[in-house]
Amino acid sequence: MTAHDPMNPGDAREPAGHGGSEGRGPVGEPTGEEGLRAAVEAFRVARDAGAHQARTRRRDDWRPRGRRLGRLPLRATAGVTLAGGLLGGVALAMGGTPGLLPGDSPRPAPSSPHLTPDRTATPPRPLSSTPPRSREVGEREREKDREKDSERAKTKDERRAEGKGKAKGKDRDETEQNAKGPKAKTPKAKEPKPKAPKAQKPKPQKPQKPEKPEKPPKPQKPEAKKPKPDKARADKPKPAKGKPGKAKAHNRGPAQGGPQGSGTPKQTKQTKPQQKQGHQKPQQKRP
Amino acid sequence: MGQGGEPRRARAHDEELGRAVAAAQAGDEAAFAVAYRIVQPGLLGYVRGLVGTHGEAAEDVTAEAWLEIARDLGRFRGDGPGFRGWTATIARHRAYDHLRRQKTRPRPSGLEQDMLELPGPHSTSAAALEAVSTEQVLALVATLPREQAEAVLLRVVVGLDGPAAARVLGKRPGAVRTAAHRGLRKLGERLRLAGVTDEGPGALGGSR
Repeated sequence: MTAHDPMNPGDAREPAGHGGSEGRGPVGEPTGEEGLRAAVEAFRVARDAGAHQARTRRRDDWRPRGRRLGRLPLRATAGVTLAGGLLGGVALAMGGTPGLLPGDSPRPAPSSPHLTPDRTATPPRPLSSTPPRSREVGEREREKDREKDSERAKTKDERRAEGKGKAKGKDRDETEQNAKGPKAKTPKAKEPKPKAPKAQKPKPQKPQKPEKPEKPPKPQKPEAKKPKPDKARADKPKPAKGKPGKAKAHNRGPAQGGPQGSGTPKQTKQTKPQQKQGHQKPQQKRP
Repeated sequence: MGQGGEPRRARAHDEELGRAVAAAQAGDEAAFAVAYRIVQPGLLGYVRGLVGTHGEAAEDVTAEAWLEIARDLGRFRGDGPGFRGWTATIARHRAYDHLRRQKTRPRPSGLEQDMLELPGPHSTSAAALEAVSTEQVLALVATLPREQAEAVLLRVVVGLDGPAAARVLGKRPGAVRTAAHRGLRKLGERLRLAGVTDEGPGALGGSR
């Protein structure tokens, strides 16, 4: 403590110069200087002893991280809530419109006439398009068949003729059924409003669109058979929604229970590779 | 409120204090002395508010606190305001240790004596004037409930902000804010009364 004594007067002279000895008082500055010297001494000792390299405990960390961390979650939560609300509102808005549309769709059914003329216009296209496709494919295949094997080509033609005949027959049946359907309706509908059946008439023609493009691919025939009667049935009684379910049950019946329903597409699939193999083999043989 | 003055004064030294603390942590004794000079007045006032101004108990407690501060300075991480809070926490622990020791051998509560020992307002030194004002304020603060007194001391005398004072006290910032607000309001009322009493004892009843 001898080092402190010489420091005392030197430090005490400065405040003495500022004011009188009264201002220093009994308690004030000398004790502060003593405390400073003691603190500096302790600082020196701790520094020399290497105590200043000690680890920082949690209570010694007064960096302003806590504030920032406290503020950021507030901003983050506010942003998340805002974004969630916006997204939720958008989701509700998006989910609400389709929920409303199915309820509205049966009501604005009269709006369907706007669509029906387009659909009525489309059926002639497949009528015009399907024969050329079938003709083109048929010609190519016939040429190939004629070149390769006349017998197999005959069988194919026969099969195709059978398939087309079936399909045409189905189409005819369907068209007849569709024609019958509206006819059956028309007498009922004609009585109250004559215009309504006109709008309903094109609707039975709708199923013709998907049916005809489905014709050219052969394996779809068994599949096309099933929906066709469904559509025909569904078209006849339009307003009832529950009937498509019945139609589905009809579809499921043969597909699940009967091996015939599952067997038919397999047979068609099996026939094709056989035909292809038959085509390929003669090509290899000829050269 | 009346909180604005001393925190501003404290903020004025915050950058200097931060630099001094960083240099002291690097081993600079002079920088440590600078930090001591900046922090010591507020720290001593806080300890006086906790321990009382009777005798040299506050100076002894503050000296103990500074020994610990000098020893653990290497552990500290933070800037100038953080150093104020860190030192206030250490001084608070030493003050409570002192109060626990004091309970075992009780002393007469020195508040009234301290009021008598305070130097008069006619002292010439500016530092003495400041000390006098702080002494008067501390004497009034000692009359507040402990929570309010500590909140006011940390906010006004030490110059901490709300979150730092809350961390020193181990309470929520909102609770410390309300405690400081109530304490300062009471202090304001009592200071008005004290000013009236200086003018004349008879006016005290008349002012009410």
